[in-house]
Amino acid sequence: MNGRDGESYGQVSSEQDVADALSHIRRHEERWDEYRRAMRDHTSRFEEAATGLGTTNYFVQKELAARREVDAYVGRLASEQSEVLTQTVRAINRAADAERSGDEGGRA
Amino acid sequence: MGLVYDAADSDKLKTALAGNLTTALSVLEATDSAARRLAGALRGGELSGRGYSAAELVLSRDIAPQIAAARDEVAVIEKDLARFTHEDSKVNRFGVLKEDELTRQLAATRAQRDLTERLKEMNEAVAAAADGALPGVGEALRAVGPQLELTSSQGIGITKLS
Repeated sequence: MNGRDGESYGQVSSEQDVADALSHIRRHEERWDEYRRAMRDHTSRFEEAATGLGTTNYFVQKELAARREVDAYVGRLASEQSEVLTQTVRAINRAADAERSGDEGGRA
Repeated sequence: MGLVYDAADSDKLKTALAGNLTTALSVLEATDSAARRLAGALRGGELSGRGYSAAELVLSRDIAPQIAAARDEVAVIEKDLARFTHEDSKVNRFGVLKEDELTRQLAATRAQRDLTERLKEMNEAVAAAADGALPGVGEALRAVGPQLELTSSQGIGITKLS
């Protein structure tokens, strides 16, 4: 994820590398947000159709319960993933700060 | 508007059709038996005269083949009913099925599966990019792959219904 290679983070060392890595991580966070939203929308559509089928039907109830479980699971996954990505951003920033401190120390 | 299947209606249809077929067969049997008796009487000379000869001709040329043809028709409908009953047994337990609603659920499920597959691929690409450069991040991102796989496989149930 340096400026030269969009497929790889390479060594996250220069300012540009750090900016690229952070940009990629944010983009990935956005993807997860979009995924979560789209999954929710489709679950809503599924639920609306279930209402049309009749929610007193045992099989409709069963499918609905399973679908809501998947939706909740996706919510948890998205939340966990958001945490991983937030920690990654912190780690990148920490590494960049350490690098800068090292550089300044070296110059002094 | 799409098809609507109702197990209760289907049960009524099967019962009514089976009853009608039984009645039709019984009528055919009675007609056949009467026709045979009449033909026997005509051939045995119990009934004679030009009018009876004409009746014998009508019996052998028209009525007997029509009874046979009607029996064949009933047999075809019986086979159809047996096939319907067999297919019906696969969906009867679901009660009511509505094509439009099930199609919408199927579309939502497929869309969720595709979204999940795409995210899994992107997640793997990001994890691969992180390998080496960001220790631990690649593994952390990759750990979600099997969970996304599970999410994707959870939505397959409805496709079995369609």
